Amino acid sequence: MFRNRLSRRNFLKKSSFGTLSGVLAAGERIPLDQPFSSSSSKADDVIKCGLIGFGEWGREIAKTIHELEDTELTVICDHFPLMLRRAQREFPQAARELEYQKVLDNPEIRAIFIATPTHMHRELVVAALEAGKHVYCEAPLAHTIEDARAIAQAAKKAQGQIFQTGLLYRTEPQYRSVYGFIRSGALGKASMSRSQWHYKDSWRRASSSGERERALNWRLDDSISLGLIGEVGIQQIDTNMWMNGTRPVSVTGFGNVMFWNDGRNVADTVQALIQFPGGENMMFDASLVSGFDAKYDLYFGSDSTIILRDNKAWMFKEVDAPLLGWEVYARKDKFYKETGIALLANATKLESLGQDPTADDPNAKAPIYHAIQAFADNFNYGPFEPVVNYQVAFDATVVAIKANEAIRTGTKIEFKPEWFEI
Amino acid sequence: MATRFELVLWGPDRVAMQSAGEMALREVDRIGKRFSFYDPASELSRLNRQAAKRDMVVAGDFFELLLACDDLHSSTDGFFDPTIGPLMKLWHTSAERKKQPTSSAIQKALNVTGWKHVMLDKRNYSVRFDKEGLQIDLGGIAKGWAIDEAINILLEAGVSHALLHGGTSSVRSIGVQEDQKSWIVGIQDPYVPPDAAQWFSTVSLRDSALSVSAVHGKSFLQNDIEFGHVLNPKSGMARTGPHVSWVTGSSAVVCDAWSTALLAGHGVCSEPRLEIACLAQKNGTQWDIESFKPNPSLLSS
Repeated sequence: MFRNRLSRRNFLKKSSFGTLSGVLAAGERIPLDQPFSSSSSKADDVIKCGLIGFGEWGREIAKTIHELEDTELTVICDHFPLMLRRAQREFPQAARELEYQKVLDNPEIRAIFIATPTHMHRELVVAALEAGKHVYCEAPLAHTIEDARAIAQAAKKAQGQIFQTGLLYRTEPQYRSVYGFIRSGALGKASMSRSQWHYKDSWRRASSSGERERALNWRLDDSISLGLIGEVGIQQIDTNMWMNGTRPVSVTGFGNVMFWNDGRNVADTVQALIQFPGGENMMFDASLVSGFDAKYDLYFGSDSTIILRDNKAWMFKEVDAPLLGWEVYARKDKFYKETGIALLANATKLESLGQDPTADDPNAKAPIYHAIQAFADNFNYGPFEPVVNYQVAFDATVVAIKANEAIRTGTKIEFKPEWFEI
Repeated sequence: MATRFELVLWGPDRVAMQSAGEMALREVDRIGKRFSFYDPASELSRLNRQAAKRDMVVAGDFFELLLACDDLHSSTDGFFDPTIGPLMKLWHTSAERKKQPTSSAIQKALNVTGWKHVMLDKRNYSVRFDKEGLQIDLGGIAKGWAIDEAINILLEAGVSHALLHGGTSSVRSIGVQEDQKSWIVGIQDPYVPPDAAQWFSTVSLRDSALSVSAVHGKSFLQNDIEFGHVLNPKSGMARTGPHVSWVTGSSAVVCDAWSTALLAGHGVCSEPRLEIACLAQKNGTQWDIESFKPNPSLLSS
């Protein structure tokens, strides 16, 4: 299946897209109320999308597809009727299907979004690509290297079709902005990183149907779940691989059920040390026991340390670090005894437009929004290689699978190059 | 929603209750983010920014909530009006200065309010404001909406005994307590310190909802008159104290809108979706309670 031809609507948009794509690439904040706009209402100008899996995350994807101007949520598929009733209420314009094959057989559907449990991805992705659809698949790709490789191979073979994975931070503007800082040497000599994901939650789901409840709790079944590090930590691991520009060489893991003693054998608290070739090792921990300090990523270096949390970032400079010209004018925030320089993308431009760069961003969007926007942009303005392509997704999935294995066995695993071959 | 939600669940399986409760509270949190008036990134803020410029297609359940607002605006004869944001802001500033706003300031705020300026198109789930500057604030109803949605999730999860409240003013129950008795909720005298726990009335809940509104709380005194935060959308004036209203019914959304409307000035209530509606005024140390029973057939046993 070929990409979308440049329609009148997209042609009109493309004239402003040149500017905007530059803005996005630099991770800048888009000024208030300057969305893409078009006078066209031609139905064939939007990407008709099918969503498979309407669980909690599927609802977020649906909301985003619905919100974006370039995408239309045409059909929602879930094998559980209750989810389809919920879909009908939230997105009444979308058709509903119990069987995914009917979605794939619909020639109007150009793109498929897959938000099912991880172990179901392989069958769905391969079938969708073979049906000629563009595919957005949630991360991780799969729960085994074999399945992940099958997906990556199918994506590689599907020339001309977009395959993007839900590794969210490579398309998130603030992270892209910090990526530029780090890659241009703002840390000085990078030394290490630390990421955490803390959320007080049992990770268990309830249902009045026993069968449904077992299906809902796939994350607590260690035969199909990649645990905390695979199901959520993969996002931060991938970010680290991106910032480092390389794959890790080994992973050492630990994990225990520390609090949720309900018969589960998937750890509710995990730690991992991921070693990189240059020694800039990553320490990661995740816990369902304590929500303290939620989620953040810290990158340490000889000149500065950068923290990323939500859609904000700050830089903490060492006393002997060289002075950066712009920092004199930058906003500074106190963190106990430290002073953080706020890394605000696009501050000068916002100021010139009369907007306060230090105020909360009125255009702040969840990372999923930017990911799906990137997918849609590729459809409309591509073809270009997605920033989260099959190789990136496969690499991160392999690392996540092995990190989970290291946690379950309490061992150190050294990565073999052949594991990453597609 | 900048308020505390608490949940009591009773059932034989503690693990299942825990996870059902988490799912319900996650939904409350999700709704709070979607319909926040103050978060510029919320779906509601997006609507408020753009609906005067163009038709805005919203999600089906958001549209359903706006239809509920439309219905309740109509059934309360306009005393429930989610577009009174500018008035709320004006009175909030007045409360800080402890001085009621001028009549011209009230009129100016009234000029950019009015649910009649909200156009809902059921064919394509779109919303349009026909007045520039109009803003919807769902603060008077979103708590009830969140509670109703959370209760649905608990029911889907098989929960048969629960009590959920938001900010102690909106409550809804599933079934009865462990001992098969109804859930008993006390209406506290807002002029007595909370630790005195002085109830001047109680309400019995069994698969039903309760909403309480009071003048006291965010009020201020001027010339010994207490001006509260509940406003009459028609006159633009704040309800003066000491008054409390409460209503019970099957839906927390309907109860939320009606407890506000009753206090805002409606004065009587014949809403068939309510079982009890009460308006109380404090005289000295006593509360005089005017009680309506719009639909006695709904009354909890």
